[in-house]
Amino acid sequence: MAFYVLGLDGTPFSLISEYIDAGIMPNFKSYIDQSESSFVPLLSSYPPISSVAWTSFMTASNPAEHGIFGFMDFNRPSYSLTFPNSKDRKKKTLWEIIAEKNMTSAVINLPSTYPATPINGLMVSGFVALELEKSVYPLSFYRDLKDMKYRIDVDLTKAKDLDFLVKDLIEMLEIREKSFRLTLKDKYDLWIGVITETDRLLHFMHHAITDKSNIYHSFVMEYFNKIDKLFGRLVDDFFDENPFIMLSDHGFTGLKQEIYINNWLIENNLMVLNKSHPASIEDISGKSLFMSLDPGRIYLNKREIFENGLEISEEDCKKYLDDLESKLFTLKYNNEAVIEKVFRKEDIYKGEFLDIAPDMVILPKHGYDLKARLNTKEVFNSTHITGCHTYDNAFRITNQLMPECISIQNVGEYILNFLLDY
Amino acid sequence: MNGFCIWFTGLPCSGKTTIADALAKELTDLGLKVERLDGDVVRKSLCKDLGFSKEDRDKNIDRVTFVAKLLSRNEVAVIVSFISPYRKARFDARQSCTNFIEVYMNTPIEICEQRDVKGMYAKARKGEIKDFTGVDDPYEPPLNPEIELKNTSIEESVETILNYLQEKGFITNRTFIKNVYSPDEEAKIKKRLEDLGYI
Repeated sequence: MAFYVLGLDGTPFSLISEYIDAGIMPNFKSYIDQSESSFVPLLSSYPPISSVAWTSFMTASNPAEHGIFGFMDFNRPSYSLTFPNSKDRKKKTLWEIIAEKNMTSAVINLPSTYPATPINGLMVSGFVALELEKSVYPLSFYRDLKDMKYRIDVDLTKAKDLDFLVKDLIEMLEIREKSFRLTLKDKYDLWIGVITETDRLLHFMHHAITDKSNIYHSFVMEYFNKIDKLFGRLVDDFFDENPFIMLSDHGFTGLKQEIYINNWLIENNLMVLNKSHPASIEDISGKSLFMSLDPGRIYLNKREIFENGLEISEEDCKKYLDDLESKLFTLKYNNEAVIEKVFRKEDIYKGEFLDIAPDMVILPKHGYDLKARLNTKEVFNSTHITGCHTYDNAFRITNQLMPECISIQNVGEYILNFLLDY
Repeated sequence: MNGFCIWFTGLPCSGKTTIADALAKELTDLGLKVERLDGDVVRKSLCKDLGFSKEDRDKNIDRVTFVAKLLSRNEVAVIVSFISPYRKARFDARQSCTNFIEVYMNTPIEICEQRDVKGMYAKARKGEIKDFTGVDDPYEPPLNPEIELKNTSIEESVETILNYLQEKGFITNRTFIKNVYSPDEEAKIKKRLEDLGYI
């Protein structure tokens, strides 16, 4: 027996449903139609971004326990920025826990596992992995990957060129299948493989899904058909009737506008910069009351957390956050309210790292993406990116009876309990 | 940087490969040129013509010693993990390699047997496997190894070896282990996140 997990990064429940109904994903359909299988929507993490969502999955815990709140964080007590990596994770992973029972794991292209750390089995780190040599454990597997011309990701520097991206996405899917097959030859108690190309496609080509006149419209369908065929082959050759879960880490929707939340804070005199042309949030003044990191993380500039911050009493913290929340709900684009929900950290996180959690997490309405960027003075803008993440509308397909698993963290919990009880 | 050869020796299932792999990872993260020579891997390639008689075992170690010698003198951090049961063969390796560091995995045989998921010890005790080290073939423990690991955890074992390497000047900047990104790497990550519209 082995437990197999296949990740389709960022793939929405609604898109799979649509493509199954349209006959584009027949292997998904036949797997779901089996009596013991289920296909349901899944919730992501707060915020709904891969580094946080996949870490919640791999540690079966929430961000205040595992300590990862985004791809970027403050290097407290200063305002300088840091990029959390696998060694910053504060909680044991599924593979580390089951290794204590002599169980083995293979983990291939799971985001936020770079640099690769020792594992009782095999690890190939995913996004934001830089060097392949540091992405592989044990090192002896590095040559196998080099021989098959393994690559970590599509070439993001050229992804704006959609003709280039089309070719690159196809090539990467072939590389994914080769690397999966290479690792599936050996038996592990837990096998996790993630296809991240789905997320890349949806960021750059989401507009082509609904626009039938778009030249990439049929490519998107063809790509998901390729994924369906790949899935069918893996089921036939390896997964068979073993315990299996396929899931995505967040949903996706078409992007209407990006919202530069720090600019909005500045407009409302809630944030001050030291420079008229700031390079980044690191140029924030200590006089600021709030600041934001991607996506939709709001921090109170408190002295107890930031050395140059303001002395704010607990009572005032609550008042300032209440005021900010009210103001946020007035934020509109073309008379449309853009904020869906606002959470205080105590509402969504629980754990010993609550003190470094954002004081507030904002979920925008579908179609709006909250950015912390400061390279423009605008509050609203759009770029070549046409898709953005959602907290809801991720998915899971499984042959396990797990109705209580409604979030990606729950899926991690289920797998851990299953393997420990086995 | 000076090359060196870390030579893990110990009974079957004493943890040689596990600790050696973990150490290789840390040294790679430190930016060293690292090569692994592992018993199971070498026996499927360089030494696939050899069996487990004393003569063949000596030949096995002889060939591995030759490769480790070439690598260690060319500034590579060579990490060798072989049962290498005989003192004479290990002594010859010590004489040949640049900066030879012997790591003795002093794990009690009962624990090695517990870890033996393939059941090799049991088969050897039933006579189904011949010349099995620790059962019907001797293991000659090192008399003066540079490092002796007595069934410590992976993390503690790796830490012990890294401390030794630092003390001897083979590695210098261990703070890099925790702060894994250089400024150039941080810039690359930032660019990737920007390209995806994440920041």
